[in-house]
Amino acid sequence: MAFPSLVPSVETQCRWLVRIASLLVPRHVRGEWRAEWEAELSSAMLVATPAQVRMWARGSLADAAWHRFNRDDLDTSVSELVRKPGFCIAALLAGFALIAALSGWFPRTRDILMPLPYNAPGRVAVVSERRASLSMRSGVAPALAARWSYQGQGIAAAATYRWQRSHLADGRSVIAARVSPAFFSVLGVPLRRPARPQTVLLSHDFWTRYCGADRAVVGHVLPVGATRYRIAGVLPRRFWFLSRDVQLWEVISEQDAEVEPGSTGMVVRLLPRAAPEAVAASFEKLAATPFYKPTVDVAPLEQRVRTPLDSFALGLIMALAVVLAPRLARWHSVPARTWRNRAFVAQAAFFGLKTLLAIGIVLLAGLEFTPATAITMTGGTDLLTEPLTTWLYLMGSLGALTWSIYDSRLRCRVCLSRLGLPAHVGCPGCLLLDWAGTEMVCTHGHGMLHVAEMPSSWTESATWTHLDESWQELFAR
Amino acid sequence: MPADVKLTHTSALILQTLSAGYRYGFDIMEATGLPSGTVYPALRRLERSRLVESKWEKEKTAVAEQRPVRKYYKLTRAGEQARAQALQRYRMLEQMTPAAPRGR
Repeated sequence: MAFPSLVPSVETQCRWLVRIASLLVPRHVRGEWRAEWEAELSSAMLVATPAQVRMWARGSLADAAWHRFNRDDLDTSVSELVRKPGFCIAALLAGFALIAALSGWFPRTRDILMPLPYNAPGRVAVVSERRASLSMRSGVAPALAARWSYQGQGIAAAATYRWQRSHLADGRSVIAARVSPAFFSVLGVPLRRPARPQTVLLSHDFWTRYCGADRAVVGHVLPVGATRYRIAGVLPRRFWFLSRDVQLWEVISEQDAEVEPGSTGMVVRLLPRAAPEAVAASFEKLAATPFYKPTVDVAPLEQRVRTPLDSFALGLIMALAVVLAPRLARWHSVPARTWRNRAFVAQAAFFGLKTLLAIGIVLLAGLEFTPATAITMTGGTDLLTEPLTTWLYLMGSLGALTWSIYDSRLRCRVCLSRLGLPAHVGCPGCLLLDWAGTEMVCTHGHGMLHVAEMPSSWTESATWTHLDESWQELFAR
Repeated sequence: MPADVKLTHTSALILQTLSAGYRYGFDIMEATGLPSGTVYPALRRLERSRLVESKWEKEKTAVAEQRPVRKYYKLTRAGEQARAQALQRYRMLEQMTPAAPRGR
C-alpha cells in the first residue's frame, strides 16, 4: 500500500514562498504583486525543471524586499523618520529599554522605590555629621558613635558600619561591610542566630553565585583578607542596606568597632514617636566642646535612600521652570486662536517629555551601572565620592537639558520635525553691513529658522518665520 | 529620467530583451539568463523611471490559453531612446538577445 507523500509539490512550495514573500510588499500593491508572481508560476511550471522553478521562486523574496526597502525610498524614509518627534521619543524610550535589559529590570531603582526590608523601617535612621566646609555629610568618629549609642536620647539601639573592599582566599575582590554586632537587630532583620563577632553573613547573591546555593556552607570558615570568619548564615533575598553590591557582612566586636581608624557610618533605631531632630539635638549636645560644636544629621533611612528621586524631581521642575518661564512671560503677546497657541502647547509638552526622559536616563544609568555611585547616592558617608557623584548626576542632567533645549530649537514650531536643508547666508566678515547666518527650513514647508552667525546681543535668539499655506506647493512630495 | 541616462548593463539588456518581443518577467529571465531576483526589481526600477510600462493582458486571452492573467511590459518612447543610447555603449547587446518566437 502506497502512502501519500507528506512533502508538498513544487508548485505548492513555490506558491507558499511567494505568499510569504508578499508579506514584505506594501499592502497597497500586495495584491497586484502576488497576482503577477502567481501568474508567472504557472508559466514556469510548464517549461522549467523543478529545481529551476524553486530558484525562480526564491527571487520573489528579493523582489518583495525591493518593494519594501528600495534604496531611494529607504534613504528618504529614514531621513524623514529621524526628523520626526516620535523618533526622538522612541529613541529615548529605547535608551530606557536598554538600561532595563542590561541591568535586569532596574534592580537598584526598584530597591529604592519598594518598602525597605526591615521591621518598622520608618524608625531606622542614619546618623552623619554635617561639616561646615562644602555642606557635606560625613561619617562620625567611632568613639563618638559609641558615646551616642550609650548616652543618646530617643534611640532604642545603635550600630556602626563601614564599607571596604576585601579579598577572598582565591584572590577575588568583593565589597564587604564591617558591622557591629547590634547592626541586624537595629535594622530588625530576623536572623536564626544572633550575629556574633568573628562571624560573617553572606548576601543572598553571593551565596547563590559563589557558593552554588549550598546550605552546607553555614558553619564553614571563610578567610577574608587576613581574618578567618565563620559563616553564620545567609541574609534574606530581599535584604539590602544602602547598596545591593555589598556581598559580605563581617561582624566585628564592639571593642574593635570603637577603635576603627577614620570615621564610621552609624545607624540607629528610634524610639516610637521620637523625632529625628530631637535625637540629633541630643547628639550635638553630647559631642559639643568649648572649641567645637558639631552639626548632626539624623535622617530616616527611607528618606535618605529616596534622595536621588527627590533630586531628580527637583532638578526637573527647576529645568522646566527655567526654560518655560520666558515663554510663559511672552504668552500674553501671542494672538489668540492662531496656529501659535496650539503649537506652543505641543512644543511645551514635547520638550517636557523629552527632558523628563533624558534626565531620567541619566539618573537610572547612574543608579544601575555605577555601584560606588549607587552607594553614595543612597546614603554613603565618603567625603570624596559623594560630591563627585552629585557632580556626575548634575553634569549629566545639565548635558541632557542642554541637548533637549538645542534639539527643540532646531525643530519646526508647527510639526516639531527637525529642520533641514541648512543654507549659509551672508558673509561672516561683513556683520556690520548685513545679516549673516544659517537658514533652515521645515521639510513640510511650515516655516524657516534664521540663526545668526554671531548674535549681536545675548537676548537675540534664532528667528522663526512662519510660511503660510501658499508655500506648501514648493515642498509637496 | 533624463534622455542621456547611462543604464547599467543589466538594465540595458532587459530593455533590449523587451524590444526583441519578450514581454513578461519569466520570459525575460529565460531569454537573458538573469536570475529572477535581478529581473523583477530591475523591471520595477525601469517602470518607475518611465522607461518601461506595464499592462495586464485581457482576461479573455488568458482564459483561452487556460492560464492566469499575465502582466506584460513594453518599452516607452523614452525607453526606446535609452535603449538606442545603450546600444552604442554596449555594442554586443543586440547579439546577446535571441529574437522572440513568433506570436508573442
